[in-house]
Amino acid sequence: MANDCAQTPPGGLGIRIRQLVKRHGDREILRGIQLDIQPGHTVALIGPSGGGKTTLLRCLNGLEAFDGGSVAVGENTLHSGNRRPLEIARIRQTVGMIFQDFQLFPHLSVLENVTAAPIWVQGENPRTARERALQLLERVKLADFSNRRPSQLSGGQKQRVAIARALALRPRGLLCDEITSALDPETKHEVLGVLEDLKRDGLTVVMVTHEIGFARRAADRVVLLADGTVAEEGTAGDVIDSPKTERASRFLARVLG
Amino acid sequence: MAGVWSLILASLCLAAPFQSADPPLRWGCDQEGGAPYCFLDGKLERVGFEVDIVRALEKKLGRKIQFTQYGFESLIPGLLKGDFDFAMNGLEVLPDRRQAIRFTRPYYLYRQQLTVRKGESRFTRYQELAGNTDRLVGTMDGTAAEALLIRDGVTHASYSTPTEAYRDLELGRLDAVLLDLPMARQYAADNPAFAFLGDPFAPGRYAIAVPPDENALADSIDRALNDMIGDGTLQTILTRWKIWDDFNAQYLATATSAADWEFEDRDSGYGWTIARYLPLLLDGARVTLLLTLASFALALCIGLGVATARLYGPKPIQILAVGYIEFFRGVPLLLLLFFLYFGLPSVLAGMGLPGIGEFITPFAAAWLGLGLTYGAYEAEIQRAAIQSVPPGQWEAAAALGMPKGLTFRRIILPQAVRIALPPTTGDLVALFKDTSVASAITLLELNKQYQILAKSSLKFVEIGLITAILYLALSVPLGIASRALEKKLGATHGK
Repeated sequence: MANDCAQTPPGGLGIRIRQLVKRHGDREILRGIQLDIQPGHTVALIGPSGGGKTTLLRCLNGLEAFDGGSVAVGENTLHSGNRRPLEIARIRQTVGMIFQDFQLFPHLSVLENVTAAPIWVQGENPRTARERALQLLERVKLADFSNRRPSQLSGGQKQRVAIARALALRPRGLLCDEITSALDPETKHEVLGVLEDLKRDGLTVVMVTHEIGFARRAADRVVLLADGTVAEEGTAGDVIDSPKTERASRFLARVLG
Repeated sequence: MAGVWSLILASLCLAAPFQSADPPLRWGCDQEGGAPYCFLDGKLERVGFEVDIVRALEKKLGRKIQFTQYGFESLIPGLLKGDFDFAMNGLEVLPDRRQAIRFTRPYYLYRQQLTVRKGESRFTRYQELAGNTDRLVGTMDGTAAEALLIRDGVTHASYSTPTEAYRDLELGRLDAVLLDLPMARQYAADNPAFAFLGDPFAPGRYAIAVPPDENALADSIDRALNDMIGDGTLQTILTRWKIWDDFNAQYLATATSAADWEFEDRDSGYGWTIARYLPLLLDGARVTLLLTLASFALALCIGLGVATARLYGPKPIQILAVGYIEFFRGVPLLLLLFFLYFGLPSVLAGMGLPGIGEFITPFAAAWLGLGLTYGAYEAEIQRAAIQSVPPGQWEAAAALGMPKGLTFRRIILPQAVRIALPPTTGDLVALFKDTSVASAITLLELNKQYQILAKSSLKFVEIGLITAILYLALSVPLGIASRALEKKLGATHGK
């Protein structure tokens, strides 16, 4: 494996979702999702709220258990009814996740937020972990903030730290859960700019988003989830500009106003 | 019918001497553990030689006397406050007391008796105990024996009842007990585990105490007591209670409560200057501080353990944790300390573990009791703090591949500690003040020293103020330090 290199992650990984079912009580959140994501693609998950976008994302790295089907992330596969901690742990080492509300660790400095997992989980030498973290902070343009506390940062800065924190584990994929929803329009662009930059490294990015414009510009594929099923899937042009289903047209008409 | 009438007639005759218009005299006395003075017998009836003397006094004074239960160590303050008209409960005529109240003539002459366990060979005389910190002598709060032990520099522990003192002697927690002869006869003479060491010494007088300005009352009681000595009533009573002895036969009739009684040990009237009591108070403050820190450390450990057990343990463990919290939050601290100190040794002995009782010193029992109680409070504080860390923190850590244990230690706990800090500070101050409860199990902490010194010297206000200043001198820096810590940690915390 060629992922010793600090700054350029190896190629992205493929994701294969088969017959994924998730229930909350007797309500079906995901109803047999079938989806393939190619290595290195940026995929935008769009759709009305309650459609299952976030749940689908959380099934990919085992944050959410599911009731039917399987999820294969790179070489590791999760099956329903059988939560294998080892598989989940391996997936989490290869796929990073970024949250809507940042979830930085408030008691740690910016630098410590980024070095925490490499040092504590992967046992990396603290000195090299710090050097790498500084390079990553440089990359998200926050090198000067490494000694600050998260509470001293703006929302956009926090989210960029969160991206650096996820990248510190040298992932081959990123799961982004509405990462710009809590930000004002100006700072959104800082964050989306970083994401576009990552695309060039070949990372597979799965993002739940309401940024239709960004999806059209940067996403290789757009998946429209509604009522727990894939309503449309295709290139940004296919899905956004010429939706084939009634459900998708209604949704897009609403968000595009 | 005739039977009923004669009964009514008989009760009228009995009531006749008390038909005066005067309200009954109120008699302040402690019936708890007060044999043979005044105590409850097996049928829960109040008996004792003082009860018999009071009955005889009723007849002589022609006035009804009403019993008022009052803690022994507070009898004199209670008398001065007016909670009752006279105190009679083995009150010794001590010089410091004579300055505050008026004593009647004595009704009994006591001497001090040193009691040891049978076969004691490490010392043979009371004098050998002076200045020897390895020997611990038990006595009672506010007694002449206690004053004697303080004067002679004997390491001692003061109990609120004789029962507890003799029990601890039997358990091996004490090396000897020094108490007035009537108590020694009552509790130790018939116990095969005990032996009297040496002859009784340091004679003194029991007299009835009345407020300083109640001369008429004092005079009438004097006359009644003299009558009872003259007609043999008093000797009959004291003989019945097996405390009449040659010393009383020889000297009681002529004894007075005047300062210059021929047997008075002049040295026992010491002046309570600040130079004399301040070192004792400072030592109490040291014990209080030590107890606070030691039991708070224990409470923090228990709290964290119980909080995590309650949050993350398997179901039975969770139930146990909740049971622990409810139990120790619900049981009064005083009750718990009494159980740990006085009850636990016999429980352990009953379980076939004798000898462990010796290790349950007053400090150990107080440490354990405070630690267990405040551990329950801490458990709830820490549980709430842990739960108030946003669940997203768990998920963020999980998404970074951190195992649960690591996440708890490195991510959740540090944040919970910051959240728990203000309520924990409050808890620490509450524990600090609750250390005073340990005085009930003879621990010589600040409050106990205050009680002993104030009751011996009757300088309640002066010594009380200095004690309060010492408490504040300890608790205010505690508060400042924790606020500083809060600020320091708080600065690194935020959304």
